[in-house]
Amino acid sequence: MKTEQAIPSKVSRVRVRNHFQEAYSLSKDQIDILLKSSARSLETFLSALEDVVGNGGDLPQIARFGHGLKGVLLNMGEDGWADLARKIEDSAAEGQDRDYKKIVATIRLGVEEILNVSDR
Amino acid sequence: MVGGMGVQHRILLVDDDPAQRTLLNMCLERGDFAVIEAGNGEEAFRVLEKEPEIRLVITDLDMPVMHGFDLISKVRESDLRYRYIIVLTSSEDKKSLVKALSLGADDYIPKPVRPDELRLRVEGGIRLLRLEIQEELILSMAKLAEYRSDETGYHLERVLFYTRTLGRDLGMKYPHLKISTQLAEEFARVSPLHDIGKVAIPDSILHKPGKLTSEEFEIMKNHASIGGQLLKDIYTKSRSPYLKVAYEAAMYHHERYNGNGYPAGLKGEDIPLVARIVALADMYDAMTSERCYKKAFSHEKAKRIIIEEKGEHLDPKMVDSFLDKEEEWLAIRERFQD
Repeated sequence: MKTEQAIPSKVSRVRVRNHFQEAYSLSKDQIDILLKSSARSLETFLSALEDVVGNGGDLPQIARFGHGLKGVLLNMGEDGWADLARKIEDSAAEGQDRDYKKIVATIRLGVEEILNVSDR
Repeated sequence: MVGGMGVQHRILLVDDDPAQRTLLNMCLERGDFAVIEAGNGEEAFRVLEKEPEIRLVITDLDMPVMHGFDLISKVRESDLRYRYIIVLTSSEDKKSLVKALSLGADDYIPKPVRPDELRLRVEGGIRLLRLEIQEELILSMAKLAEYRSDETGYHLERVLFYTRTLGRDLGMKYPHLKISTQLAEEFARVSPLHDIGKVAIPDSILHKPGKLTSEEFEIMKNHASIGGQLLKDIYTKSRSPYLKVAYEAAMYHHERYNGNGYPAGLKGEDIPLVARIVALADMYDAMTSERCYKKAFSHEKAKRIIIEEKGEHLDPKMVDSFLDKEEEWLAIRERFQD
């Protein structure tokens, strides 16, 4: 029986910036660049997942995009959110029929402050 | 700075996620590495084909167009020069890691990447590539020695192939010798160094047409200990096992199985195995090649002499293997004609 995973607190720019500084010792300019690049990658993987899920849900594709999304979140230091992406990846790889749409929507909401970075 | 003296190592970074590439690029630039990026395996392979000087590749596995596994296989299949490959993999995915390593990857970096670990693993790869360059330099020295001693053409190549044939056959016939395929390959790779000491022999002796006087022969004999000592000195500094085997080949390839050889007068199994192998390889090639002081012997004549020297000059096991694999020796001689 699957237990529901706790939803992590929303990702904030300050938290991610601090992680980039502490984990990778990046300069302010580098953090700005990496934050924008991460936002673009998040958007790419989330959109790809939404497309695949909306088009009948090709499980290998869902697993691949879930894997990519997990990588971006881990680099951002967002382990809790990465666990949710891992759940997408692992479930799809195992051929499980889950409500992927709901999980993807939850993640999009959780990272929305970062997604907005690329537009600023 | 790993590069040293202004040398910037170029690294090919392969990942379909631009954010991951940006992050790794930032971490590597601090270590004075020049990073070239590719978004998938196919793009990466095109870059490697165009830029052979790129010797280090960091690649993700799960990528569109061409998977990291396929990239590793393609690089290994097409390798002219060795490329050090590091794979990026999540720490829990041991299955993919084992597959990547079995396909020929050299190392891995778990994701998410830690900058200090990334730098250390890249530096480890560069150290290994440097050793390979040192090996190439040493082999170039052997070529120089060969040019100088007028043993032109394919002498070193033939000796290398004869050594490999002997090593592999002995390894199969005599398990107690413990010659693995890898060790047979090592014997072959060091064989071109056996006469490196000839660089120190005067031209008047090295190029003398006709027989050497006894004094000249004594000087000529020094090439074994000069070459051996040179390689031993480099081995002492580098502790590379490759150079230890090279030292044994150069120092002792003129020893005789009956103890009447030089420089140490070693006898039988006391003579290092690689030296007993190279002794026959070199002797056969010397006999069947033209030199400034003699014409080439026929294969049959060389074979008769080798049989006569069984247990005298040559280890009987080497002679038996030569006779068993005679066709292979002839094929090598045919393939590398001067």
